[in-house]
Amino acid sequence: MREGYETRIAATPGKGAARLLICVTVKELLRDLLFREAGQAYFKRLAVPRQRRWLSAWRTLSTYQAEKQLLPVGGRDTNRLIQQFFTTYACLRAEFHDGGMPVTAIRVLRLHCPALNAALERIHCLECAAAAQDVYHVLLLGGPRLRRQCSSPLLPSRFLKGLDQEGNTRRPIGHDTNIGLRKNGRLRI
Amino acid sequence: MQEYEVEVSDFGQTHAILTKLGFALSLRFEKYRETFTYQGAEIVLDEVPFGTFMEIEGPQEAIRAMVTALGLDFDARLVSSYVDIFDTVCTTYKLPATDITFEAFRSLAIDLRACQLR
Repeated sequence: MREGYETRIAATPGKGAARLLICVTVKELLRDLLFREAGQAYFKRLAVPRQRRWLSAWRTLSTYQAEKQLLPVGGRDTNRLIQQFFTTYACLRAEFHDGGMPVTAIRVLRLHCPALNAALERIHCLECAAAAQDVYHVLLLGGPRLRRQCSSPLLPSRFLKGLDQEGNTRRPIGHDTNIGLRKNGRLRI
Repeated sequence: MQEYEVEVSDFGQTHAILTKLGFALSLRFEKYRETFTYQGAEIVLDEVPFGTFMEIEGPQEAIRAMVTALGLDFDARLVSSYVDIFDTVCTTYKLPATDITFEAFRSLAIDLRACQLR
C-alpha cells in the first residue's frame, strides 16, 4: 500500500470507483474524453506521472500530444499506440474543475458504471492505467467537491483482482473502497 | 475531384490562415475513424453523427474479396458521399441541421433504413 495516496483520498468527502475495461472500451472512453470533454468548460487538464517528483507528481500533457500519441488522425494501429502510451507513462489522468464532469457525459461510463451513476454524479478526476494485456484500469474520483486531490499515480499491478469475464469489475477494488468512510475522525477500513 | 490531406498541429491557426486566404466555412463535418489494413485492402470504420459506416478501399479485386470474406452483400453497398447521405437524412427527418456535428444529432435516433439510401 502506498502511504499518502489512500490517506489523502479518504480525508476528502469525495467518492470513488474503479473499473477494469478492455482495450476497445478504453479507446471509446479516451476518444470521448479527448475529442469532446476536453473542450468543455469543466475540463481542467490531462496529466501524466512525473518521473522526478520534487516539483509535483504530475505534469500536464496537452490534448494535442495525447491525441497524437493515443488516437492520431486516421485511426491506424490505435490498439498498439494505446498500449505503447501506457508503457511510456504509467497512468493518464484527466482532471476536472470543481463541479466536475457529469458521469453521464461519457457513454462508456453510462454503460459500464450503472451503479456508479447514482453514487458518483460528477467526476473530479479520472485515471487510466494498463492492468494487463489489453486490459486497463480506470479509477474515478468524484461526488461532492474535493478539497484536495490524489497526487500519486496508480499502481497497475494492484488492479488485477476482481476482473470478470467481460473485463469489468462488479465492485470497487483496491484502495478506493475506503474512500469517503471517515467516521468520528478515524478511517474505517 | 482530387483530395489533398495534411495533418495540422494547430486547428485555430490553420483556420485563421485559411480565412485570411479567402476561404469561408461551408460545412463542418465531425467523424471518428479507425483504419485497418487486411490483404491489400483498407477497411475504415467511420462513426459519423447519423450512423456508423464501413468503407473498403483498394483494388477492385481486393474489395470484392473483402466483401465476400466479411459476408457482406456487394449489391447493398452505398455509393453516396457522406454529404449526400446527410442531405437525405435531413430531408427524411426534416432536420434543420446545417453541420454534420455530433451536437446537431444529439438525442436523435436515426434509422438509415428509413432514408432509402443508395
